[in-house]
Amino acid sequence: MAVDIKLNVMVDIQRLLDALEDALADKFELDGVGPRSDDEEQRDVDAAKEEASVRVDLIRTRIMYTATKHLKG
Amino acid sequence: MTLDVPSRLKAMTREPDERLWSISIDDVDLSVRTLNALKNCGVRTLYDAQVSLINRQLHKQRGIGRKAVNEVKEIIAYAKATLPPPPEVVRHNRRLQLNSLLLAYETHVLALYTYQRGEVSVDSDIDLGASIIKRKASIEKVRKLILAYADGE
Repeated sequence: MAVDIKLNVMVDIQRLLDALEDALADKFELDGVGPRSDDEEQRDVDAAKEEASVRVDLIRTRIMYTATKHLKG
Repeated sequence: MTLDVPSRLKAMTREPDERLWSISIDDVDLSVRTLNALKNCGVRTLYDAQVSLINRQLHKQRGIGRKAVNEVKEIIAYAKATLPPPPEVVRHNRRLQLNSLLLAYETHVLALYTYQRGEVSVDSDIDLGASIIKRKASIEKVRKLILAYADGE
């Protein structure tokens, strides 16, 4: 792998790992939110939980792709 | 049709292994009788032998009985075991390795949040300060491993 490409991959992965940490923090916070009495509020919480979960998966996939795309074999 | 990785790996065992192209039947430890019988059938490499086995053509050849078939199967299995793994398996193993690292990373991060928020039971013996330091060190360690992985090390 050329040095500049390698450097970019490293920077990308550092950035993605930071993003994963943030996404996990959001997911962690939202998982701690208890049931709401108001239906609309509950729907918003559920949607936010779903979104946080999807974000974690997306970043994970992105890391897998970035870390493996330049590897030989 | 797209198969998942375990199914693909299973299917690969029924497909001729291209790594066997380079191995001549003269270079492996076959009995003279089996070697001659294979040559008479036009088999020159272990790849040819494997294709004939998969197509069940070898079993029908004159001079090749069950014993010879088993001998060929054993030689092929031995050759495959000693060759470097196919790229597909290498790629699959690499992904598994990275997946494990990411899971470890997430576990340490979530444990750190739990400690930082003091969400451990009151009667627990856990020293929060020490646990936080330990988890931060683990996160850093796994981060470095993920970067080393991406670096191809």
